[in-house]
Amino acid sequence: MSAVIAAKVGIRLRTPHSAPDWFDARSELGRGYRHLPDASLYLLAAARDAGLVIQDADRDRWGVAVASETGSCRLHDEIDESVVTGAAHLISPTLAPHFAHNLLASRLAMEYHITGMCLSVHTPVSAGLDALSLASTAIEAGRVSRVVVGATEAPRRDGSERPEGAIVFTLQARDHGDSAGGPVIDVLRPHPTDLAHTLDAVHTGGPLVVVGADRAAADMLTSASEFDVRFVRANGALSTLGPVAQLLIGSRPYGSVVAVSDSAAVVATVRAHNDSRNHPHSTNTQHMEDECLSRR
Amino acid sequence: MSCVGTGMSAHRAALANPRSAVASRVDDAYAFVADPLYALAIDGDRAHTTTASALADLAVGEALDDAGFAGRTAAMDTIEVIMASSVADARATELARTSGKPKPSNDFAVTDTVRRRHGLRGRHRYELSNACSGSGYAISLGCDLIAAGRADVVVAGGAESYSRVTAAAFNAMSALSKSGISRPFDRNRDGVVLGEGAAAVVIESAAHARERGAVPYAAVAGSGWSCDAYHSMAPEPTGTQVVRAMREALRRAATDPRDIGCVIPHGTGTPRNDVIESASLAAVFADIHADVPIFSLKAMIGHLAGGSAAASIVVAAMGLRDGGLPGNLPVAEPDPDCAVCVPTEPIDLRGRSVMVNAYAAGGANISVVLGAAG
Repeated sequence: MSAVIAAKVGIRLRTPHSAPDWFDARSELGRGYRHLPDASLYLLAAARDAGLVIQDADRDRWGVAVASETGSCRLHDEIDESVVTGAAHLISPTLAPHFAHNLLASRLAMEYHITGMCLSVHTPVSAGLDALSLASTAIEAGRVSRVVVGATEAPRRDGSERPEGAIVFTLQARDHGDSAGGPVIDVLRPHPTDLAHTLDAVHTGGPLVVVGADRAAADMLTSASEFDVRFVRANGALSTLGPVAQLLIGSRPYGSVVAVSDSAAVVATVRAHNDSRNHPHSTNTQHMEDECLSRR
Repeated sequence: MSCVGTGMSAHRAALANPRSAVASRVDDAYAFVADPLYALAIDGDRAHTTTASALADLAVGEALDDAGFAGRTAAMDTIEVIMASSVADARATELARTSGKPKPSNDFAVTDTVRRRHGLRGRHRYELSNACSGSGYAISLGCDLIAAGRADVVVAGGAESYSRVTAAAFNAMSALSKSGISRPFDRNRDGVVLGEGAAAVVIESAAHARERGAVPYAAVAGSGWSCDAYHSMAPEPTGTQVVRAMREALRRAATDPRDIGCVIPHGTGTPRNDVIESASLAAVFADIHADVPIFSLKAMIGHLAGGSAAASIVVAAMGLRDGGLPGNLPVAEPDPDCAVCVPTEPIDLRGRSVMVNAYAAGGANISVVLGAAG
């Protein structure tokens, strides 16, 4: 997959240290956002954090690619509970369209009038890296020049613990006029049996974060290499895009994130460009560091 | 598959003798909504309990068989999978909720179900939603991967099963047809007839198809994407982005509008969609738009949501291989605000191309141009 550059990063994550009222939509976003699911609000707040500015003339050349596994599922739970208890008349017609999972990405596109493309990706375990990968493919195919890539998650009503919040960053082609200097991201899809060999070739140092349902791939890479392997149990799209964002904003812009699931593997490597003057900026870096450390 | 049957033969026969897609009340004991209306694809004991994964499994199985991959175990190692569905296996979670059984770990099980059921072990596995245009994007992305040299063979498509959540949301939005009859472009159309179903295609490069002696249905000549960025449900009234997607598809396909022998529209039967799409077709096809035949598929099979774009592409491919499509179901009272040509006579596609349009809530638009296999 062709290399692209992350130019801006925005983050809104609940961390183990967050207060119960850690996210206040009104203060984050202002008026006009009442009838949106939490995952949509997190995504919009992360985009604000990234400081996206899109010129009118460029809107057709920008796209959105958002990953989520449970972002809209809480609304499903609420709608279905209303239906089976005979309270369907209470379902808000304003909130109802958001049962469609793609509305997370569409609402972000609406916020910034992004008209080039809008993709919603939900592949279990690898959705975050898949959004990155498909955004790169779209840029390479000439469909758009830049893509706002994001992941957002909110818990279902079943009480299961999940990372909660959103991450957003922007991608553009390496040869784009104003892109020189930011970290470079490459996405590869080796056959799982070639994973160690592929990482030998592409991993340029720094942490190697392995995301999966179990530790098998991480243990294999630990025994087969000298890499600094860290395991993250797959639990939504933030599991993969979170570590990527951490690499982008961290003091060491080197590392790889690997998603392994269902006999398939995706590898995203992050490495510094020779000139790091345009290093991505986030106003919420500490939250990201806390979140990633807590889940090792 | 759709409410008219399972398989290409069933659909070829049904479209040749068209009848209106009709939604019926679903016998879901927990669906306490005003109009739990669907055109179900599965009846009998499994009515309304089938999942999108199960429907996708059937469609992909037929696509692989038809493409000559049945029993070719070694070939399965390099077949990629991209599937789309608006709510994926939400139905499995709904059934678990009312039965007290454990809920599935993830609603998005369509792609992995297809991979496991058919032993597909390619390196690319994606599950999209993108609502009612999702399977168009799945097929278009598959083509982009092949064009970039990163895939040899991709199976792509989409599926949608009955969902109580979907029915309730459409009721809340007053978007369902109260009459239960799918009537795109008719003055008396009154909304969407949701349909269960699935459709899938096998895509490969022309060279790869030649090498293995496959007989292709059609060529995917090009596709255009755009996003309304306008409203969570309503289409953008000027159709600016819908027009841009059609023009981009024609540009990428290097196809002149005069070479389009038929358009399979999004044509959902909602008052606004059909007017905006008609006006957008007029903008793209200009002075010839009144002569470009429309094949109004949703009038006959309903709206398959995540599977609808793939269903349109399958029908387009079938028509291109057959040299034509049957005539449409008559539009009882054509809407004067929908200036489109919906012929009841057969549509000749010899030497012509077909455009497929698909749009989604939230404004994810796609147009795909298919031509005869070279």
